[in-house]
Amino acid sequence: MTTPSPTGRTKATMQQRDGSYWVSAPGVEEPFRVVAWTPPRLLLEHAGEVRAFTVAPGADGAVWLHHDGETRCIAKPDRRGAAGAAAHEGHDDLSAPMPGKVLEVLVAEGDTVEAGQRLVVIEAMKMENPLRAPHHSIVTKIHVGVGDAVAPGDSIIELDQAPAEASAD
Amino acid sequence: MTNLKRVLVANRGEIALRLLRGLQALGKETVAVYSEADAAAPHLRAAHQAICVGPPPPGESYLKIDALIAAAQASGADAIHPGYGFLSENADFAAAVEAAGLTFIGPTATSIREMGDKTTAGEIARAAGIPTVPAHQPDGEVDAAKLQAAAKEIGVPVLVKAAAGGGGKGMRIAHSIAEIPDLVEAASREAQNAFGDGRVFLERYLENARHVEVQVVGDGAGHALVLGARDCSTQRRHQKLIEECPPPQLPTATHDAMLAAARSLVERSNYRGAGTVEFILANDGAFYFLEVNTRLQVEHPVTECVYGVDLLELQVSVAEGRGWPKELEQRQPQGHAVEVRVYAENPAAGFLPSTGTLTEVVWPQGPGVRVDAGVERGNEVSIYYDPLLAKIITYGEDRDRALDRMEQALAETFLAGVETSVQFCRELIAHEDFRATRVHTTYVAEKLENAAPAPPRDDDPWWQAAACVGWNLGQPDASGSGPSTRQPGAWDTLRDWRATP
Repeated sequence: MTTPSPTGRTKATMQQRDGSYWVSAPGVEEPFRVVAWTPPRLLLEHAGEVRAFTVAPGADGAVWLHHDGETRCIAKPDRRGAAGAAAHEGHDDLSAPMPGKVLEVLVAEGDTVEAGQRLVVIEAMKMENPLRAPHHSIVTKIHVGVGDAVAPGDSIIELDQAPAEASAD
Repeated sequence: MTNLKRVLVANRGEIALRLLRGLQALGKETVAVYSEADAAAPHLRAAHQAICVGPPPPGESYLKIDALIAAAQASGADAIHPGYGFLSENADFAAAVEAAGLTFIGPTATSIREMGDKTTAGEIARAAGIPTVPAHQPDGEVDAAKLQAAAKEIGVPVLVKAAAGGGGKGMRIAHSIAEIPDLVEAASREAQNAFGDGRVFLERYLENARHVEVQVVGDGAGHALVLGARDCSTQRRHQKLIEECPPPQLPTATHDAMLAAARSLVERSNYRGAGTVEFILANDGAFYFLEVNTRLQVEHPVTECVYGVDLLELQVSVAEGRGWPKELEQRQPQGHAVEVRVYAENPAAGFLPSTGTLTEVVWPQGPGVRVDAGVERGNEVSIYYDPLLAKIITYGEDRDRALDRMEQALAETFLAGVETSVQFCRELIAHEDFRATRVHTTYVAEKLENAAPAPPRDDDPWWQAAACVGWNLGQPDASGSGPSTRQPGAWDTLRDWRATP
């Protein structure tokens, strides 16, 4: 017996801006815009081109996609520490994985943090969910304050990996 | 002559649906049976009545003869259709159905017994003048030393096969005499587990051979209706993956000789009902009798497309003692049909079964497309049953048209939640080897063995972006437009979002 084996891991991050959802994907500068999301149908727009996907959930947070005659299963990025993943080398942009309220901000811009250190705590569905630093890093930007409501994909905190000491991974 | 009123279908999945629909189109009332694992299966809704026959394991439900007969009697059915697999080729079941005063839509128990034993079937074929593959033929054997001696006479490569087998179970290929004892032991053990009969026999292994089979219907009184041939050479693990009708690039003389051989077998054995006579076509053009399948085949739809018949209707007609319309005997094939089996299997992992919940199911549509599906969104693909989820059949005026339509149909197909054979078959059908009819029964296995590892495909930004949306948004906005609140749903329960320690 085998369980479905994801073929790839997403490195994209999503943000909400100007009443739309925007997705930044590695390797392209201009973000993708969500034109319509009526599950399982998704319309994405990028550089004037619109493409249709069929999207369905899989086990362990993976996503099944169908587009242009092809089916792929893409695994959820490793969120133990990293909600989103590096937008570029050495840079982490952590986004909210689900809607909630910011309960605590435990660091300040300019702080040096260790891999695994709690940075921000978000409360959602009566559960506290910490965002942790994926690497030994310096906090470059904090986008939220205590009490802020956040939507999935909202950028929370940005980090630049610190040099020297080997990081946890 | 009888007139069947109410028919119980003793099966599940796509064949149960196909039979229940077909029976109702013939004006019959229908009864479905199901196991506790199949309470959400679509075949239940296709019937007038559904009866639970037991727990998930087949031995406690779909294979339970007394439970099935009791269900037929309780529901007032006057006949049972066994489908394929399960009890379809079980002579004891056919006998028990008849003994209960019900009509078995299939061959007599005697026919099933004779044809079901490959050794006996081979003797019947040779008596009808049909060649069989050079083999060590006694009633089957479990003594490895005797089989090893016999292998020296037949020559290698040689197949070790279960005497009571089918579907590739209890089958091994020996490339040297030395490995015979180990392979015999393994094949015998597998046969014992699968069929309760550990006897095996040896047969010359024909390399680069094709599998061609003939569709027959007998009236039980020595008359045969022969409805052409099918090519089923695309196989994995000795099980069929893609079938075609008519067989491509088959010389007319060979085609006609196969049909004549199958006719002779049916006529001589007074065979009743639908059946399939299987042949192996060697690369030198010679063909040999393989076995008779005493049931409706999985791949029967390609014959239905090309011969313009409903094989279920013919089965029912024969069961009611009405035979078939005479004009069918002159029926000529029209066009070309191909079938792809949609298995819940992972081709990249040697076609191992893949289990999970089907979170999305999208089937193809359009001219010349037929889908015989047994699952729908939300169904669980479990470990209990055959991984065949559906069959996609395309039809066209010639082979290229049928194959082009199949490529398109497979491109439209989307199953989320389990790995399937769809993409593999789409690539295969587009391949020049397939288009040029260079596929033989071990082609898929050899191709997979020599395949380079698939390149990583996770860096396309479009796919990354789409995955990111699915993973972040999951459910639609309650308002249906723009970011706002969202409702929890299946997506959320599948996500790794836990309370902090």
